[in-house]
Amino acid sequence: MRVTKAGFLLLLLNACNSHLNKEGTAPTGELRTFSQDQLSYALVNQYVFTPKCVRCHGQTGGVNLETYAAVSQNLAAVEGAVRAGSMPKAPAPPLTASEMQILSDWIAAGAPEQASGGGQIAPPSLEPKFVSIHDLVFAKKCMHCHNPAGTAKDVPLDTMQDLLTSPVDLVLPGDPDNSYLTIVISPGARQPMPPRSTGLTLSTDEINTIKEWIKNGAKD
Amino acid sequence: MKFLTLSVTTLLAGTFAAASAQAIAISEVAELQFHKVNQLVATRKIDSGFVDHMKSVALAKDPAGPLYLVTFQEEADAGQAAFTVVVSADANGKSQGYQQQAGTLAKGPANWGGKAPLDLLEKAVEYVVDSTTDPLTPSFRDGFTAASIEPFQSANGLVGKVSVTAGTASGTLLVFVDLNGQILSTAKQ
Repeated sequence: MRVTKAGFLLLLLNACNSHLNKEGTAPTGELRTFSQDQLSYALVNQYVFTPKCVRCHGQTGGVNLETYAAVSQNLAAVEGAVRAGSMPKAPAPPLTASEMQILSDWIAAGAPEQASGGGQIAPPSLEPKFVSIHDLVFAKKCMHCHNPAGTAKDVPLDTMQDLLTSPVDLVLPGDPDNSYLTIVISPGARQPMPPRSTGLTLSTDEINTIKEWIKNGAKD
Repeated sequence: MKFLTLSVTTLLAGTFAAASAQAIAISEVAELQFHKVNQLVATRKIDSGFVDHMKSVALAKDPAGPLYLVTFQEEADAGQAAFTVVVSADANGKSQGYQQQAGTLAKGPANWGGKAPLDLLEKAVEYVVDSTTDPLTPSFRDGFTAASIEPFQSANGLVGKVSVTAGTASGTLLVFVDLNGQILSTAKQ
């Protein structure tokens, strides 16, 4: 029954948000899923609330989503808003299919604070792969502006194709030094991205991972 | 009926062909080439001093082919030819190459309080591309031909005064931009 409910909820969420994602899936076509006994608040917070919600729904937002207690209190509103496609509100980027899947599975499982399996999911480590860079860097630090309704909508970062076909040569496979992406994220860039005023400057590890991905040919 | 179908098909095909030929406003084609100049400076293919003496950007159709030629020119020192870089770009604004033309890099002091006039000029062109509320910008967005910047002393201090011209509009659009890149006001001259 739980599986049916989760599937139904996912269908609804996807139906409401399918227009927001070109492929209806995560950027590379993969859906990141977790087993029922892995679902916990920490997991959802890590994959959904922190990267996609707390920028507005933090200390300054009307509805706080920074703690399990706060999220529990507002769970119906969260579910309703995501289901209706009204959150995240533009220009913030929409939830990806993977994020919707994790959120809907968690809600369908009764929104547990702790994973029933008892084990903690290790935080995902940044890898020189597009989906990893997309989820752990772009979604958190860039897509507040680089999304279809954002101020940098002309330079989307949602799919690998966006990067490879960008008119500004964001990614030149095998050539990180001349790729505009690495130029603007590198320390000392004349026009740094994200802008210094945002406080979202990429870490050395993030920059090096992106460079490595490009150097490897930006294939996947 | 067959004629009508053929006509509609031809009309639609023509429309799609035009749309694919010019996917973005030509002012955006020019705006995207600022990134190319930044890339050339960052990779040391052009001297970094180029951005500090930037004077103008101009866009024209390449008479020899389907590309646009976007010409960046700096303020020349007295008696010198202006250092010029021409970037070629397709209708989507994707750079296809660049050429550094004859001219001498300006050595004189830049008068922009430590800011790069290239960046201020870019902000003004960006405004022309993106503004949806300023009634003065549309004809300059779609018919953009050139923009040039000069220092201007406002009541609040030094700002950039950018003069924008368009083939489809009479007069000049003035865009005033502060040294932080914020657009202050626009006017038509």
